[in-house]
Amino acid sequence: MNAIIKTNKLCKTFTTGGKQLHVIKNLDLEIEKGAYTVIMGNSGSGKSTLLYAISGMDKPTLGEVWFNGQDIAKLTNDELAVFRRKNCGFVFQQIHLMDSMSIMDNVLTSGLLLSSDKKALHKRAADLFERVKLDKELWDKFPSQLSGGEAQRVGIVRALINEPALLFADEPTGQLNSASGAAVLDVMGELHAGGQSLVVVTHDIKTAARGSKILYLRDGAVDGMLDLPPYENDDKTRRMETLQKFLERMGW
Amino acid sequence: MNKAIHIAKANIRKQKGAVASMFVIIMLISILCTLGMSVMLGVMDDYEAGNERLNGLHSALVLPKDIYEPSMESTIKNDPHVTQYDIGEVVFNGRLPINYGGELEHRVIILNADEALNVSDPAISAADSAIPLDSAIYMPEYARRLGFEVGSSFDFTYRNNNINLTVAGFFESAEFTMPNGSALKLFASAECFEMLKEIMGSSVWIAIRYDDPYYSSVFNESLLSDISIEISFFTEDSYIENFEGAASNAITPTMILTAILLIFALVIILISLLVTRFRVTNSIEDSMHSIGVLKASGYTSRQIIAGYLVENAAIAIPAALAGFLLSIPSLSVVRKAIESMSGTKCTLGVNTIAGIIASIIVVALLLLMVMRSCRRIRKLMPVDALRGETAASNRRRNSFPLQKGAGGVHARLGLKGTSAYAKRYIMISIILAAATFVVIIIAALYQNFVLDQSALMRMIGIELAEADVSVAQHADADALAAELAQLPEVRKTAMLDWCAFRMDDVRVTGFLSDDYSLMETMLPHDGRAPKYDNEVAMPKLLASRLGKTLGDTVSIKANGQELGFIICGYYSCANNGGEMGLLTLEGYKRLDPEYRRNNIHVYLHKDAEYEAFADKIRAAYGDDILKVTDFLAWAEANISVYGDIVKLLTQVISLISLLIIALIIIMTARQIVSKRRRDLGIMKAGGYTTAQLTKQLVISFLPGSLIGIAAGAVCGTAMVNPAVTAMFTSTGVYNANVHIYSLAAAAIGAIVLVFTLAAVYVSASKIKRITVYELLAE
Repeated sequence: MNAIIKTNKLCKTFTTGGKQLHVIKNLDLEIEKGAYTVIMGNSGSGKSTLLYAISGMDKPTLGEVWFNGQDIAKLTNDELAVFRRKNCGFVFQQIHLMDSMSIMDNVLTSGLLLSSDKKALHKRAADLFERVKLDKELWDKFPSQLSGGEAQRVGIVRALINEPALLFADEPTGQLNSASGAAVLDVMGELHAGGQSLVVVTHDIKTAARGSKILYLRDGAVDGMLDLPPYENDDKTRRMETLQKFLERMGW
Repeated sequence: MNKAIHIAKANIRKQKGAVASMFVIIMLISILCTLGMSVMLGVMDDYEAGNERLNGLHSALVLPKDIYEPSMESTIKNDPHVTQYDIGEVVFNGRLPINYGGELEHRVIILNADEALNVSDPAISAADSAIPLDSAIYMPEYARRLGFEVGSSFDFTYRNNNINLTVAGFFESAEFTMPNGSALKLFASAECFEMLKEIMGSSVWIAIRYDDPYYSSVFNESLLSDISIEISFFTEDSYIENFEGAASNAITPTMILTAILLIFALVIILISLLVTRFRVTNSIEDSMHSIGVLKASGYTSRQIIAGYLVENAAIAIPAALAGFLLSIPSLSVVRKAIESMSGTKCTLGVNTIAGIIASIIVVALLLLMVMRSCRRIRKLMPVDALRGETAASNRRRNSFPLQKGAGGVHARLGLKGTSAYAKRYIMISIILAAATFVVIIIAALYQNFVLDQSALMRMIGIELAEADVSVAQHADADALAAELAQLPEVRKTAMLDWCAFRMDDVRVTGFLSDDYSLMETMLPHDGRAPKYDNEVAMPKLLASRLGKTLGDTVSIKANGQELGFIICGYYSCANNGGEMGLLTLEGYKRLDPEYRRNNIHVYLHKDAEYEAFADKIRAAYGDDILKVTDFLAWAEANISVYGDIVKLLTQVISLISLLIIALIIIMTARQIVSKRRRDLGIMKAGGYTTAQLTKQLVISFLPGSLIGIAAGAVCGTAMVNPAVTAMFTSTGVYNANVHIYSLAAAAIGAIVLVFTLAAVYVSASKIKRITVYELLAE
């Protein structure tokens, strides 16, 4: 498999109260194209910071982040914005839909950045809504009128509208009940099965179990790695046990 | 109270930019109100103090020697109210063409500088002893504004004698402070005075001071009752001035300036009330959750509202105080402006009581508006507030859907922003409408009072013609007018003579014509011009003073005769306190059958040059013509002081208007950016650049700004004449004839729009600081 992301001595340091906090330390990492990569780790291990740095949401302090052959660490803020719109989709834990816009407009706001063909975009949005099983009558509603699970599925559609090379998700089920969370994970699993590359940060074992590669972070460095077979064909109980054992080994 | 202070502190910390903007706006209001009130209430006292300090005259008369009766001196001496007087000699011979930036005519009174005076003895300053005494002339301080300085030439021609004098110094004078409507009072060295007297002859000079300066108008009348003379603004051999007239001449421009500034301050007060209302309403919306928490914790509505009151009082009171304190140094600028207009040292001080009262009223109005805007808090239940009763979360209408309609994504997202924050944009729209309205009015004043002064001349009651020809007594004026009308450069001629008569015992400047239909700028605003020999027209203000109206009969007295005339029309007249009357020539001949026409108004074609025309007719008609006057230039010089006021006002008001627009736009734009911080972060995460989001913000301001500015420009254009007329009604103007070119109004609108959008663009720099990281780290 080709690496879609490759980092070289990636560092991220924060300064708080005059003290420097090295969250990511000289990290070398490869994310494979088509993989469902899950980043895990304890609180403060640097998993979210890593996600922001490799997705172009934040700039690393030092090092390189190669994304499809381009070092995005050298890009300016506006260049990063253009990079994100073309290459990345993002699913947030807090969902972050814009309250003043309808569901459809929330999705099209991202889509219209790359295409001015409103009809084609609308059709694509409709296809994606159907794929994530969001009823048509909800498309013209407002975010406040949706349940958490419905809203997160809108978040996924928004992230996919520009057909990103990589879909990033930061605790995508963090604010959802178990039924809604499972539905969202099903959608993400289906996307992966269709060839979509994903990088998901989570501390939820059920979410992690959907991944094909688990990275365990400790003190800003990869402490362990686990490859799993495709979720659909795997024995779910054995998969959970394997993952459980890996995490126990890592000190989870 | 501590709880209220705690809430207020929290609110102030949250919106530092808005607090700073409000502070500056209230400070500006306080400065304008304090200055305006101080000047308005103090200018007359300042004039009186100046007159007292300089031992200025209260009555001034110049009479031909053959008219003067020696008994007048005993009348003066025996009057118990007279404290000091002078009776002496002056050189005075009607209007003299004086050369400053073009030859203009003024009535000039020249006194002997070496003769000791009891009244208004000049303190000559900046005198240059090197200037030869036989040509040394001393000018009033205000002449410096006209371009004179020590060593300047002061030349004029009198009956083919070229008189060349040199300015040897300046003196401060409390009277004759304006050449317009008054006279230019000069002092000449004894040698120079004798030389001038020899060439120009001399008249009798009477200057009087009383125990009560306002006694002057009463005494002037009794003094003149013994001699048969009528004196008006246009009489050439005599002159009269009383204290009220001199004061009015001196302070009227200042009063106009102050009145306009106070009206402008009122507009800013209204704007600031509107801004306060929206700021408090928005603050309540933004703090809805906190209000819910406070209410749930047991805070009463009164305590929460007190927090808002303390917050606004904490902005308004120091701002008003700062404005009051800043008005003290600012007053020196106003003093300089007044001094440059009057030439008299201005000692105006800040009227502390008026300033404090004005500031208290402004602060009280703002706090009342805060209380009104906080009413919603009383009705709010804690649970509703905690749920967050914000407009955004309850929105049910998706304006400008992205999948439909024309326009790019940024335009539609910008318009979505407009719709989402409609209340803020309505406020911006109203404020821009008010600001544009003010700027249009002031631009119209600039256009009509500075660039093209015809409207101002109409207001003053002047008929504009390129040349005015005075005809010698022996010549036939009608025949000469007919001949002049045949000249190729002449468009037409009309009769417009000046005289003096009394209407119901009020001395007025009279105008006579045999055909008022020829007049182009001296037009009635009500009724019609006199047509028959028993008709008179006058300013409405004068008619009101006389208790008359159209159709009433007024008694006119001249040449010892008295007859009734019917009032047929009203004219605008901001000159001489509106004391003017218009009769037909035949009408006046009923009072003075021997009267002979002596003036011809000559209207030239556009391409004709005045100088060439004047030289040509002087050469062609020789002694038949007493003099030819460049009437337009004379009129312009007479109203130059108004042009100076409007120039000053244009600068001050335009600057303040733009500053207020900038402050409010920056405050609103920053509030919107703060309120949309989360949405902007989401859009940045989705790949929108700062430039694209800035563009959307600018577009979101466009509809409201366009509507507001267009409304302000249209209302300004449509209402400029009634507004300016209302401003000047008290001076006798009932139709100011002021207009603004549509193109100029459109250009001003475009400038305000560009300025507004530029201010939005600058405020949008805050978007740059919004990072995706802060969104993710929520």
